[in-house]
Amino acid sequence: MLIQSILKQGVHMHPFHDLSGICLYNDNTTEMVTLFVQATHVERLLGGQSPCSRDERRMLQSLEDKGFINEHSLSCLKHLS
Amino acid sequence: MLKTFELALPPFHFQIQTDLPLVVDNLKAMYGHGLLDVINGHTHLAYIDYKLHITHTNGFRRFYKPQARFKCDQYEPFKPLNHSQAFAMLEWGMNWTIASYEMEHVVIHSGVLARGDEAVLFPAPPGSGKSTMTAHLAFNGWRLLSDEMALITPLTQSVVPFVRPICLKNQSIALAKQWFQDAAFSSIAKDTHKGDVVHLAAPVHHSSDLIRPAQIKAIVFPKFVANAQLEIVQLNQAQAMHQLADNAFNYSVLGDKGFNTLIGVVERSACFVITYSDVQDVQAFLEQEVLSQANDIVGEHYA
Repeated sequence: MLIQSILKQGVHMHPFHDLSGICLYNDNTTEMVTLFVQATHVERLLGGQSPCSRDERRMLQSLEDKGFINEHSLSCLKHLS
Repeated sequence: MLKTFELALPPFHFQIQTDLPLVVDNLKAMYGHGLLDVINGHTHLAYIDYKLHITHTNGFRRFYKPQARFKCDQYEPFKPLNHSQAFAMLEWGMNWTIASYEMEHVVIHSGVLARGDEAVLFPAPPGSGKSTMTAHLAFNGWRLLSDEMALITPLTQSVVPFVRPICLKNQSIALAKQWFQDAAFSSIAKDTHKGDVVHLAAPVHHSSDLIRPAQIKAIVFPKFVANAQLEIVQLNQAQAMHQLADNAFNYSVLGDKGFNTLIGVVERSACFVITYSDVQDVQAFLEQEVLSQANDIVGEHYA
């Protein structure tokens, strides 16, 4: 799953050139967040290809709550046992 | 008596009205030829961006523990302060005005100095020693663009000068008076919420220093710790963005243009956190390491 496909309309994403993370900006709320993970890692979590730690789950839930990603984007998450 | 001045302070024009002699004296000491007297309504500047007032409070308080009040275009953002703090209040009011209303530039709470036309941003919270370091560099071969706020042209690396007096607090006042014996200092504003405050007139070597932009090459987040050895930590871009956004005033108002400007600045700059106690160590680090590394980053980015 590509991360762009679950971003809400008006959310801009920038993956940093040095692969240190990504930055999201929500035009609707003017909120900006910096994630210290690469976009590909987020895509693997959302696609269920990588198990998701409690912190990662919290991070993604927070993105959903703050309107950065579409509702129900977290349905495929596979929890770390 | 209410006096009116115009202050050409690129990229802005201010009109300042005051009935406080302390403010008049300090304005003349700090801004020199940039300060223009308006006599009998005869103005000098073609337009005014902001109209500022710093005047005595009315009524009884004019005589008993007199206070000063600041207004920007009739809006009063602060409570009145003791009249001995009036000039500091005017300077803070100018900061507040630009931070609140400026939309042509992305505004970051940051010192900005340039070596030639290569600029380094120093974003930092109060108490980090930013102004002391700024003062040292400004009087030792670096060009001061601002002690307080970086004005970045959107979607570029270009930072425009907004040259104002450097605000020194507490122990740094005596240090600066010892370092720069020929410089102009304002009167002291005692017991403000920042402690004792003095402003130091910015050194302007050429008139072009007031208008010539510089290109941002590096971002250094400074932290003063007494007796500390210079410690340098290089930040990755995500860390730098996280810290820079904390110091940005208006990117949210500018929308994706502001966001992309910050991203561009971080992507093309070398970024560091430094802990220091000796400003000369900082200067050597900036000149020998930071600017050369920054040029490598810019080259790599455009390769």
